[in-house]
Amino acid sequence: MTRFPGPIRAQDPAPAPLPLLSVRGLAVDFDGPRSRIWGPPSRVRVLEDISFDLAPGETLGLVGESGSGKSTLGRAVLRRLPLADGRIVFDGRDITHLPLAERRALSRDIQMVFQDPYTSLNPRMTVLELIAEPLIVHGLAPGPEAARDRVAELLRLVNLPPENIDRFPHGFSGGQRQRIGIARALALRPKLIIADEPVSALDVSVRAQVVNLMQDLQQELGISYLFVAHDLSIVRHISHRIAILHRGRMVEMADCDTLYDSPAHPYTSTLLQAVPEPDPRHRRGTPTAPPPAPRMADLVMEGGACRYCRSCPKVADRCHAEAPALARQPGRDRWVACWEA
Amino acid sequence: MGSPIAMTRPDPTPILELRNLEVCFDTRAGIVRGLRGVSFALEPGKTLALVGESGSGKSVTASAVMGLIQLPGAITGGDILWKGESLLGRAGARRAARLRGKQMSMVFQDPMTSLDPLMSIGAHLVEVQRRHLGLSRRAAAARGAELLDAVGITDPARRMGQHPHELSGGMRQRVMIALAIACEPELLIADEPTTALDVTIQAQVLDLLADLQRDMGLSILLITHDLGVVAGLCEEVAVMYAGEIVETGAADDLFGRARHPYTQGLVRATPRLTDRSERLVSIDGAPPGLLDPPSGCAFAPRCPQTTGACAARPPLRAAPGGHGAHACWNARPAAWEPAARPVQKASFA
Repeated sequence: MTRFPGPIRAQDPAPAPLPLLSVRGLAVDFDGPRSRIWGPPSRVRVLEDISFDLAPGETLGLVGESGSGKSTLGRAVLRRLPLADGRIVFDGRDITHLPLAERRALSRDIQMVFQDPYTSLNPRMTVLELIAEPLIVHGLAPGPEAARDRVAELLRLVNLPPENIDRFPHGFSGGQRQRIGIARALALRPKLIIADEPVSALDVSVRAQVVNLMQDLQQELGISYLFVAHDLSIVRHISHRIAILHRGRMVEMADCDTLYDSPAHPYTSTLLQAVPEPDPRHRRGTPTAPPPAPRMADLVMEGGACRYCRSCPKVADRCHAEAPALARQPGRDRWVACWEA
Repeated sequence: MGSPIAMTRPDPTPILELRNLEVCFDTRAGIVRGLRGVSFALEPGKTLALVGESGSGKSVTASAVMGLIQLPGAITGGDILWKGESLLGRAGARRAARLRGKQMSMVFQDPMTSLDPLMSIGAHLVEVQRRHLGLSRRAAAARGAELLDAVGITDPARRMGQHPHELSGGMRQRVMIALAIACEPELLIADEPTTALDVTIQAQVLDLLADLQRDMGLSILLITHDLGVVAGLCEEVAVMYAGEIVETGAADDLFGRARHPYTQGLVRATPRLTDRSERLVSIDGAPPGLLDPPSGCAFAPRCPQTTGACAARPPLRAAPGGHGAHACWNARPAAWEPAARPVQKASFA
């Protein structure tokens, strides 16, 4: 097996001094159900107390089930959402409170790759127009034709033949479309790419092509990724560290090997057990009873209890009284939010 | 392709048998050959998985069995047999109309779009039982609540009055399964039943299907792209590629001892929790278009071990010394390696 020399591994001594992205105590509120028809909406805290650092050239995998807030976290970092609390520092600059014009400028450095390559590309634009669009919006090219050379170069970078430049997206397969989406995200030479389930909609054999491509690009260009995923099987291959989200809170964050070999939070164990193993030689026991799905009403500013306490196999009295904060385990590169870990 | 391959010891009457089935879609661009001679047999009480990527024809196969192929599509060749009797032709169509929805039923991928948002859960269950079993409204409602209980829905009486939007995705899929088993079918076709669900909920739904199969003696035709799902639930697997079956065998054998290079590639490309390597195996290229399918082996352009023989289409042949069959001239143990890093890339100056 080729060992891919990632820029920062947990075993490397003293990682990079300055993180590219630093998030502290981030919280996001949405409007919830109203108590009376014309009354004010209640507030639902969909993200609470999220803190992490992302080094240049590093990939952080964000894993959680639907409704855990993983996509919302991506949008919050892009500053597309009002923040209820917390601070975001990107590249040494506080971007927590940015005026609209500067938020737009920020998108030169932070780009997004979307889940569904079939709906995220405008079917009426050619590949040239699609990839040149960010350059035009940011005033780096007067029109698509002026950017032709640059777009051809970007296509080569994502392993697509540049002869395809004047074709429309419908002529491409899912994997090829996702490459176009990646080329479009790369056009502005961003420092950070937020990839929101970039391979979930792709077939198994094609998924591997796109994940490998993203690793190559990182190696070559030193980009950082926030890689959002809903299950744990694919993120291991691309991430240096993984953060597990559960109902708006980060419950565990650790480097890959630590997380997979010895999960500390009960929810992480549940997620790991739930992934079906294709190889009968590695079959594990049947999964334990998984948690019931979160409901909007349950999220309405519930009191101090741990949000996992109702489904947790290790639940103790303390869990009902007080929510554990994400804390670093002594002497290890692992953060856990659990009283019983 | 010749006679259908019986996947374990030959059984006198498989509950469902496809013989060289061909389906074509007459589109503006030309004739798309969706199925190019698909044969398999499903024995009573067994579970067969049809595995393949998008466009491989697995859902078309299910649609053909359920009689859901609509214009511009048509079954153009081969036969579908239910307990040895054809479901095609005029007499077959009458037979099929009596079976479908009752003796054979289907669970679809997306539970949100397959339930009527304007009907309560109870109304769905009552409609099915009145139509197929001729029950009274009251009897159907009582039995409906029992069915919800059987698929693990708590507080069934209250759920009967709720509408689909009030249930979570996993619950909706349970309702779909309750609807499908309402008439005590002998065959359940499940088309990607867990693809839209979270992994923890997926585990629950798969457990439910396994329980139902054991308790009711159901035969299940499971359609999926996820090899992990296959291994948990199925005994037999048929791998589809470009409108045909390229390999069949026991589920447990397929992962360690796949013979067809496509199956081997698929197995290696599936990420595992236990795999520490950072490069995934990938199969370069994309499946061929079925508008103009290749005359030879459809996988040859992506295959790492092509020879001159691949210009002719390989038949599905029984593997020597063991059960299972594969359609490959050069079948041998795995030949896939993780994708190497490309030598030189365009600079990004």
